[in-house]
Formats: sequence, C-alpha cells, structure tokens
Amino acid sequence: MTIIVRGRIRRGDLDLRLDLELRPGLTSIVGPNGAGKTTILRLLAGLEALDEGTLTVDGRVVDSPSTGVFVPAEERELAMVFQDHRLLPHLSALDNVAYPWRRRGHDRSTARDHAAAALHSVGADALAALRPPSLSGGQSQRVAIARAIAADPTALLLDEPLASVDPDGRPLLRELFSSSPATYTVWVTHDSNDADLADCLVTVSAGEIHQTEQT
Amino acid sequence: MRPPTRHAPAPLLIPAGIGLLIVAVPIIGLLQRAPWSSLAAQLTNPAVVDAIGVSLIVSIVSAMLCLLLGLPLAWALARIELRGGRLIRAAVMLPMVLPPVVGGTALLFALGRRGLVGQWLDRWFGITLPFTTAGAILAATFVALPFFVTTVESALRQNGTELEEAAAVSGARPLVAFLTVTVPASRESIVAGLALAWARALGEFGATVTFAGNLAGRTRTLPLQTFIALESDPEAALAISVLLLTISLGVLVALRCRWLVR
Repeated sequence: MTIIVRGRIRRGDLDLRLDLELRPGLTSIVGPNGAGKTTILRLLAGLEALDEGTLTVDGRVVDSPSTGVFVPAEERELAMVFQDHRLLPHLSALDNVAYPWRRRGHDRSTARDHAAAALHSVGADALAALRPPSLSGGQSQRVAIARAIAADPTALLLDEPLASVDPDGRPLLRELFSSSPATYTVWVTHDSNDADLADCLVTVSAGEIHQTEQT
Repeated sequence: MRPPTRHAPAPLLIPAGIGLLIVAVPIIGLLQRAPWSSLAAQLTNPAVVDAIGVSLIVSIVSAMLCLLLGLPLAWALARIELRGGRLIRAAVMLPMVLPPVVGGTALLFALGRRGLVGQWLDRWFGITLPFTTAGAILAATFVALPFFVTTVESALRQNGTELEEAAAVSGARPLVAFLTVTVPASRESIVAGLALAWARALGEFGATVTFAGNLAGRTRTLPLQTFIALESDPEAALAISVLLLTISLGVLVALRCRWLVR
C-alpha cells in the first residue's frame, strides 16, 4: 500500500523532480508559494500528467508517459478540496456534496442522505439549502470539504483546506482530516501546526523535494 | 462637494445625435405610418398567417439546430487546442460578416441538386434542399449559428475549466461533466445565444431567398412576405414590419432585463 511518484513535471517556470513514497495516513506538503505544492496534488489527482517517470498507486501504474498509461481523474477514486473551493454554482450546497455519489450511480435521495451526514460532520448542516454564490469563503470551504469527504475516496487531497475557515472552526476540521477514513490524506498547508499532525512531511522548495517521516 | 458637470464637447455630441437619428428616424417613420386600426386584420390575412407559420417553423427549428450543433461546436472551440484553431474560429464566424446573398449562393452550389454535396444527397437519399422548408431552415441556421457559437464560446472560455476539473475529481466522465456542470453553469449565455440566434433566423432574408426561393407556405417567411407586400400592399408590409420590430425589441429587452433567465 503506497503511492510512489518518481519522475519529472515541467509547467512554465516550474520544474519539479519527484521521488516520493506516500504511505497510508496523513501526509503534509509544505513550502513557499509557487514551489509546486498544488502541482503535486494535481498530479496525484490526474489533473496534470508527468512529463517523465511513473506514478503508481497501490501497485497500479496510473501515469507513465513512456508507456502511454494515463488514468484520468474520474477513474482514480479520489477527492480533492481545491484552494478556490470550486462549488457548482447551479446546485445547492447539499447537491454539491451529493454530486460525487450521484456520479457513482446512487439515486438522488440516497446521495442526499449521505451528503447531509457529510455536511453535518463539517458543522455545515444549516447551509444545505443555500447556493454557492450566497456562501461566504469559510462556508464554501466547509461545503467543499464535505463534498470531498462524502466521496469516500481512497485518497483525499486537500489544498490549503483551512485557509478561509475561521479559527474557531479549524479544530473540528483538523480532527476530521487526521481521522479521515481515506487510505491516503495529502494536505497542502502553510501552517506548521497543521504540518505537525502529519505522519509524513514533504517539503517542496525551488524544485527540490524532501520527505521526512514524523513520529 | 460634487464637481460641476462638465459640458460635453459639441464635436462629439453632434455626430452622436446624428448617429442616434439614423437609427431612430426609420423606426419612428415605420410606427407613424403603421396601419394601427387594421393591424389585426392585416396580420390575420391568410398569406400573412402562412408566412407567420413558415417563419415560426423555420426560426424555431433553426434555433434548435443552433443549440444541438452549436453547443458542442462552442465547447470544441473553447476547449480543444488546435493548430488551426484561429482559422476554424474565423470560418465559423464568417456568416456574421458575409453578405447573406453570398451565403445563399454558396449553399446553392454546395447543396443544390448539382452541388458538391447536394448531388449525392439527391442520388443516394432522394433529398433535395433548395426550394424546400428544410432549405430555408438550413439557410437560417447558416446565418444564425455564429451568433449562438460566439456567445456561448466566450462564456465557456470565461468560466474556464475549474468546475469541469472539480467534476472530474468527483468521478464525472467528460461527457457527464459537460452535461451536469458545463451546460448548467453557462445556461445564461446559452439562453442569450439562443435568443440572438432565433432573432437572426427570424429576420433572415438574403440567404433564404437565394437558396430556398420564395414559395408561399413553404419558404416564404415573414421578411420575404414583407418584401413582396411592399409592391402590392404597402399596408400589409408595414403591419408585418411592426410585428417583426416588436419581436426584435422584445428579444432585446428580455436579454437586457435577463427575463429569459431565472
């Protein structure tokens, strides 16, 4: 059970050489802005592809340009919380959270029940009927987190998931991430306290990537 | 204190006023001469009723074609990076600037009974397009499609791929993401594009008369009926003009007020 990334990705000014082995549990990615933290998440998500090398998840090759293998995002059984939330503006908060389950073939009412539970777990029950344009930044972020959790993913990818959540709301969500049932939780953060929660710390800086196991 | 209102310079105001008059005077002239008392009678005259019927069928089917074909086309132009992308986009927009009669001529030589494609349609399927309602629909779609495509394409570009990515990581395949995310998130522009395309199709004259001719009950739409009536029955021409003007204004006002959405 490991996610192994060995390879290289270039996007504009960014030139990342990756050599990572992520084990089940919570991994934090830290580093300065523009260092490529988000790109690593997008790579794991299948929204970016490696230029060279291989990405393997639990022994299955999902991205390998030399052999032409690329498993697209929708087939990777993961969920991602984007820094800019990316809620679907035409759906209520509840239906946003239900969306991943609907895509897996569950009927509307089953998906909504499941979504209501996820909204509850992030303390956002009251937002269920609201549409994203009427949500504040912190509220949107909670709904986005609920959507990711409700997907029951193998890998939960979080890009600065607490950035716009008010400080009072953070402990609940931190607890949620560190006890996430996802096999892999990968958390991009600026906050060194958040990073301390992780089992594994990945530091990205100027194209250099270091991985340290924490106890 | 607010600064005093600055006087607008006459060299700008005078041409601006003349420009406004060029648009307003013909409309006022039309309204002033319109046969208001006999309007209902004019518009229920059998020839006009036929033309209204043809116009409704032609413009609505054409607008539906714009939706069915134009939405995927707008998506492809906005999302697929192609080497000749600019050229393709220019080609799609061409009917907006092309004289409609040239469009009609092109349609005739491409899809006419001896045309590039038309001869095969005729030989293999027995389909003849010129001088049929289907031909009129095709001509209207030819001129209306770019209005729909430009409106929707620019909205798709502006909306970006962020929501589609969010759908993908939620497990939506590209087609599902298109239908459940891209389309509903752009519905305002889709409705606006549809209204523009429909209005353009309704007003189409040049390409229609060239390619589909002027056959009562089949290809004689309201603009064609107006043109014919001008010689024989100017009052009827005025009445139809008032009807078309009202519809055009209605579309414009609806777009401005966003009555069409929500």
